[in-house]
Amino acid sequence: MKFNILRAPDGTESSAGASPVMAAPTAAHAASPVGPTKIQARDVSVFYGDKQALYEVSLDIPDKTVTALIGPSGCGKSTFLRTMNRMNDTISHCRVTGRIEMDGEDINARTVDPVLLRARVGMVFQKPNPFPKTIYENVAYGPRIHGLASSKAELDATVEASLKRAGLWEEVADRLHSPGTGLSGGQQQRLVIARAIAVEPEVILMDEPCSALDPIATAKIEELIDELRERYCIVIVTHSMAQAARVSQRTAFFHLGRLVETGDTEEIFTNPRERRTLDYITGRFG
Amino acid sequence: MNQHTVKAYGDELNQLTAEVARMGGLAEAQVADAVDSVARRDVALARAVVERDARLDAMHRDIEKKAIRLIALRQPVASDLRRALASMKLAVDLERTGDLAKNIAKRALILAEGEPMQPLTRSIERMGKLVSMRLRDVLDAYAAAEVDRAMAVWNTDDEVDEHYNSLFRELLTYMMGDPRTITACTHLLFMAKNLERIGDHATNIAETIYYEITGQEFIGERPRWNPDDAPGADIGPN
Repeated sequence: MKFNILRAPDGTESSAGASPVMAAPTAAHAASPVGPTKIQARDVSVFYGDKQALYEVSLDIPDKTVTALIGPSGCGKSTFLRTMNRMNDTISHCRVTGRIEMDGEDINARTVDPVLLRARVGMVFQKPNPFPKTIYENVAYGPRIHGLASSKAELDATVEASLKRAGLWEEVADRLHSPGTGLSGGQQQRLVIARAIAVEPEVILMDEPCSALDPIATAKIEELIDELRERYCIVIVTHSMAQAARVSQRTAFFHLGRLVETGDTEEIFTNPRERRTLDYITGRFG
Repeated sequence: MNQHTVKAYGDELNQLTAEVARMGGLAEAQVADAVDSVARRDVALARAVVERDARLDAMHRDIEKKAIRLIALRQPVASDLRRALASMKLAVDLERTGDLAKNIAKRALILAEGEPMQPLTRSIERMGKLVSMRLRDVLDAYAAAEVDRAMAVWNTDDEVDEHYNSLFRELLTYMMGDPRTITACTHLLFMAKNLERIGDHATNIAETIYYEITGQEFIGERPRWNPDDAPGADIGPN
């Protein structure tokens, strides 16, 4: 394995134990079981210069599960998402405090190479951002720079498998060498997902991946998310409450930089505990 | 509860609740009038009850249509969704209540053609008053969104059952004493059964209110009047 720098030495899931922050899923939710904790955030605060954007967020993100982060604009959900693959490192005046562990290891430790971290924690953005290269090259890029394929045949196989897993193969198999930017918006978004999964990540972060797509392309992405859930830990930021309800098993509600409530999606959308959550999901935010 | 950001949405939900409350008022009046028509042998009132039932049916359809429209267009969740669903469930219980009241009125028309049976119709009247009161209490609880008040109705359903069982015995005694009263007593027995079922609808409504407000399914064993504990239990109906 190439990306084992963060794994616990004995290969066990050291953070899978009981967590005081996120209760175990209820038996009623057994139909969509939630995996062991993959990412554990503790007292995470984010500052942009003097301005604090996130206040002591503690949240467990389970593996092989879709966790939705919801909340009004400026609530800190995207900021929190970006802490999980250290995207905030690229912003000079941004400071992150608290601890984020993946499989029990601090991702902000000095020994962790953010480039390798981002290979393990892929990201999909609001607007599809394929490289100005061919469809093939878009997907082959990651495996190539990370040295994941030793031969052309192996690289071809990785590209095909990734495109298939992203549900795009049948639509592009006959034009792998046309530019990725020539695809439709929904296809581009699936291409970007194929690019993300080509480097065999463990976590996929999605920041409003469907907000630029029509309902049919959105449905395809949602179907894809549901399939990807079997292999990956997925965290999605969405403004569409209906989408959060449709695709996720766990939901976390953020407001004014704080995590207000987290729980099984079914609970959050039928009977939330917190008044602010209820107001938000029912469209009562004043 | 805060206002909806989309005001029309909040208005539609409020309208739905108001219409259920209006329908409840009519159903309540139907039950009270049906019982009155029996007690007073009032043919005109009984006919009015039978005719007015169509209005309850129309209100039921209207509430259902509005709730479906709201669910389709507004996609309510959590408390709003429960409110929409509760309105549909209540409309069904109230529509059935209306049918039972109509049935009592129809029988009142038949009884009015025969000899008066004062002591028996008075028993029906007493039971009718009790059931009407419970219906009113539970509808007040709905309008005021008060769980405790709804649960008070739910907790006392055995009073209605008890009334029904004693009426059953009373009627049986009459029929055994004078077989010529069997026809009339059978009608009275059906009336009593109808009232008992109206009482059950009131407890259904109480359960729906509980769900609407708390979001929890109501799980509980309803206090049941046990006929085995009562004298003359061997002839009790249940």
